[in-house]
Amino acid sequence: MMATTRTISAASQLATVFSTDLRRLLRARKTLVLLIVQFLPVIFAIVYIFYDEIDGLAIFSETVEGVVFPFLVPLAAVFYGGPALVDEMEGRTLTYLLLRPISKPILYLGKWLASTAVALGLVVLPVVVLLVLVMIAAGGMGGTSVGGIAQIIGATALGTACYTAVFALLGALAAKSQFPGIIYYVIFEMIFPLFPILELLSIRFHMRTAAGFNAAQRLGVLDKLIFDEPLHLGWWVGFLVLGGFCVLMLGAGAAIFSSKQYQIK
Amino acid sequence: MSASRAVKIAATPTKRPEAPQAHPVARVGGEPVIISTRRVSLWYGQVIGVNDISLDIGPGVTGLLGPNGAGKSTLLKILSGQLRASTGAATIFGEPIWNNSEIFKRVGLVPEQDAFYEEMTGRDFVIYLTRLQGFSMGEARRMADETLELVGMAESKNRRIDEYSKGMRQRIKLAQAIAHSPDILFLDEPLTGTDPVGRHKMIELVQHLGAQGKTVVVSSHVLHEVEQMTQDILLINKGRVLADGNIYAIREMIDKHPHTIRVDCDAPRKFAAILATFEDVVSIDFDLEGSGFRIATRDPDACYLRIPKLAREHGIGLRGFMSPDNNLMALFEYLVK
Repeated sequence: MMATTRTISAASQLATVFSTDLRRLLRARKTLVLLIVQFLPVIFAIVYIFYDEIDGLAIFSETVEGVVFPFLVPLAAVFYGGPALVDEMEGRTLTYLLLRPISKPILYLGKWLASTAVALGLVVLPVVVLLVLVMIAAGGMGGTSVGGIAQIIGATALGTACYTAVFALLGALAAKSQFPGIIYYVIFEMIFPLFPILELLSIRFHMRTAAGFNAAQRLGVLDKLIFDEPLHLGWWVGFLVLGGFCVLMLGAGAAIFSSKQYQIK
Repeated sequence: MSASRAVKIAATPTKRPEAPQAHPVARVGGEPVIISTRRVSLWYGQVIGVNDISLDIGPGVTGLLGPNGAGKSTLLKILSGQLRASTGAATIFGEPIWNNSEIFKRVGLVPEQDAFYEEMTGRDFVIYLTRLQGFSMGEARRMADETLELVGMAESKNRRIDEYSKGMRQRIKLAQAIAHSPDILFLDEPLTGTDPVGRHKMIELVQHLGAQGKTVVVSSHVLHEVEQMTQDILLINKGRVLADGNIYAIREMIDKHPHTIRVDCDAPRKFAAILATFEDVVSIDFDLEGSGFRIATRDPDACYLRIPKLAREHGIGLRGFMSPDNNLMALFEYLVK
């Protein structure tokens, strides 16, 4: 055998894990299925725009606010965030990775990055397509600012990253992907937003803040008891909270993955 | 050679506090000691998987032998850094194993589980895992190609793994474990499901690696598999090292018991009738589903050689033949009496 040089650098190992996982995920059947699901609201929105003479840009905002944020972003994240590691555990391929000279946090980060990149593509692509279509139908920006659109797309992207980080953490913690993710979603994203203060624990609240939508989605009864009016935060606070939350979840997930012992049978 | 001279049967712990015995340390392989454990135990909840094992393993091939559930895989997982011992210390080159990713530059593992990225080609699989060993893409490709050639997978390396036979999958597992030329190699039941050609190739490779001075630890529940690879064995049962030493002494013990071989073939009754003519054959039992039979023999070596030869001569399609677990159970029952 020829002489070989061996350089173990975190950056090259991160790039190897990321690129290999990205290729595998892009070729996976679930990606195609999810792409179709993610495009369904675009199709419905187009039908509305062309047949019901509704303002296209209003439909864009309503679709993002009412369908993409509450359903499609968590759906993509639960499909990719949790399984990033759990698929390796259930498929028993994690053994190969854990017996390489790669630090566990790097492995975790590489897999999360690949999962987030695919989830992001699946969520943002239909949003951009929808935006382009409604702008064509409206014959321009229709009074919507470029900054406003960038805010919406940025909130979508950062929200997706946050959700995949949460689901990856739950996967590392429970060694199961879908079920803990669904439990999390029901408690934090469906029940908590109904209550003042607790709604701040929901990712969707901060996505709505960052996108410039009305953040609160409460029933109103409790608001009257606690606040005079729903809580309003600046859009930049939304981005700040989402960024911080994402880093926190990633750090916690990497720490759990590094210290926990997984039984691969 | 008498069994008592060649094999050290683990001492029963004494209950006399006034004369405490040193904790027995099993010793296999050459010099120096590469892998070491001291009083290692591991519990799965209330169940003990490995019970207070101390051992030193040196270069060469070491067979980890024991029936299913004996604790072989658990011990191998501790030694290869997959599991953390509940108590005690496990080291490689004097360094703790658990969560020590630096060690894995020098370690290769063929896991028992049949797990792959099924959609990848065999070559891509080996390249990916070799790249994670710190090699550039060019080097990883070259090393993967050389190793795939070595394990006899050069022609099939560009096919998807989900198209491979069981034997080919075993060879791919071996390739990913040795592509980076590790000093230590762990093989967990490597011959499971392999065809006779794959089995021969695997055994040859293990012997070759051992002769090169690598430390190779092979776990198996089939004495005859281990015997073809090495003479140094560790006998394990119920999470404890029962004996360590030379395999021939163990063979003397097991030869006193009829040895069962399961044969899976096209024409079981015809083949059984042919085999029944040999003197060492004690009994033959047919499977209910009619796909094979079990043959009990007093000369397993001869019987193992004769099965593929006779199948070929009589045109019988041989799907496989292997030793079921109960042979070792009989040996262990004998040893602990």
